[in-house]
Amino acid sequence: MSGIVIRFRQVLAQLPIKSLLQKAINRKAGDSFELSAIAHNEAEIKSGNDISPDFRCKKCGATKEVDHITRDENGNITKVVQCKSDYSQAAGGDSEKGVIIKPKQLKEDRKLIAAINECQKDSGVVAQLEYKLEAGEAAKDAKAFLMKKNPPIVTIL
Amino acid sequence: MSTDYYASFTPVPLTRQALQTPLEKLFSEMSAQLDADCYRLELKNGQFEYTDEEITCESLIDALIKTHNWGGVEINLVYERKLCSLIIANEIPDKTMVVFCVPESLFEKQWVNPLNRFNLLNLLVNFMKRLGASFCVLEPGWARRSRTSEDIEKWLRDVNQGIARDWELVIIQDLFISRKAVPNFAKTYFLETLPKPNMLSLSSIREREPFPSLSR
Repeated sequence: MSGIVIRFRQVLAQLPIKSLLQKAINRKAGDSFELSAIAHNEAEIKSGNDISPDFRCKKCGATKEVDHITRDENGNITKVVQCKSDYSQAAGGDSEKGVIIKPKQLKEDRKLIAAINECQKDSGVVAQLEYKLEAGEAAKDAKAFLMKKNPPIVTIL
Repeated sequence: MSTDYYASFTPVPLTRQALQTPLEKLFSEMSAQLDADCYRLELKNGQFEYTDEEITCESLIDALIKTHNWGGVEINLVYERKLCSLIIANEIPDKTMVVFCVPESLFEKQWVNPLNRFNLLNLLVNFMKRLGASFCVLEPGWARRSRTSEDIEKWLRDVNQGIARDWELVIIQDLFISRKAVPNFAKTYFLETLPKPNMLSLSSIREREPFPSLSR
């Protein structure tokens, strides 16, 4: 994933963070938790550009979407944040569903962090990976899975 | 996004290696590219969990052969430039389950636009036919086990009683559940009859036009 460019979403780019939060419609599983996670990092999210950005690999053309990113005052990426909702808590969600951490996604997220850090190495700012997990029984197992090796920052909300 | 969508098919009486042809046709229809990484799943307390084991594979058949003794395998693929996956696992004796997973952004793209939704439905129905599956359930999140006919029947009962469920789409072969057995719950799901393969589609979103022939 070397040579990363960020493809900003034009619609989101027009919207301030508060407007996005006001648009909270619990239409889909995970939406409300994602908005809570955005609110939790609101001070460090600089614009709508930082919500659901796509990172595109120049080599294969595949895109990787993350939930949001946070930046410092100079625009350097400080965190890549992935939110993991508990599906069993969504409206109509099956009680057996919980938080699912996919190892492939974790691996790709780590590659993305490495690529971002390569891109912004001159700034001296080192980006970190954060997983925000929706609080509940399932979050404990998910956290244990994430903490096995080279763990990201894990925040349970 | 934080949500992945899973399409679960009826567990079918096929070995994993026998899935090679239907899966290769599915990959071809989707113009999907196989990713080399495969992840091991094992059944624990009635649900599949990821283990720490992963291998790299050169092809689909390579993945199916190398992982034949695993409880389940997640094979990753790139579809529409998004990382998706296919879970193949054995929970019920002599039956194999297939689950297809896409991220929410891709699901939304395919669900909101009527043409894309039709193409998605076509893809699922054709794959059901090749698998010999009698149903397919598309839902956010995964119960980490096989969906069964009992799940479908419970869903029908729940929805009929006004109990909210998050399933977006259920495709049922009408030999499995007849149209008469499907209760009237038009407020939450829309019933369509798919013409050729004798299947019923129960969807959270209404089709604007009747389906053209889905057979190929």
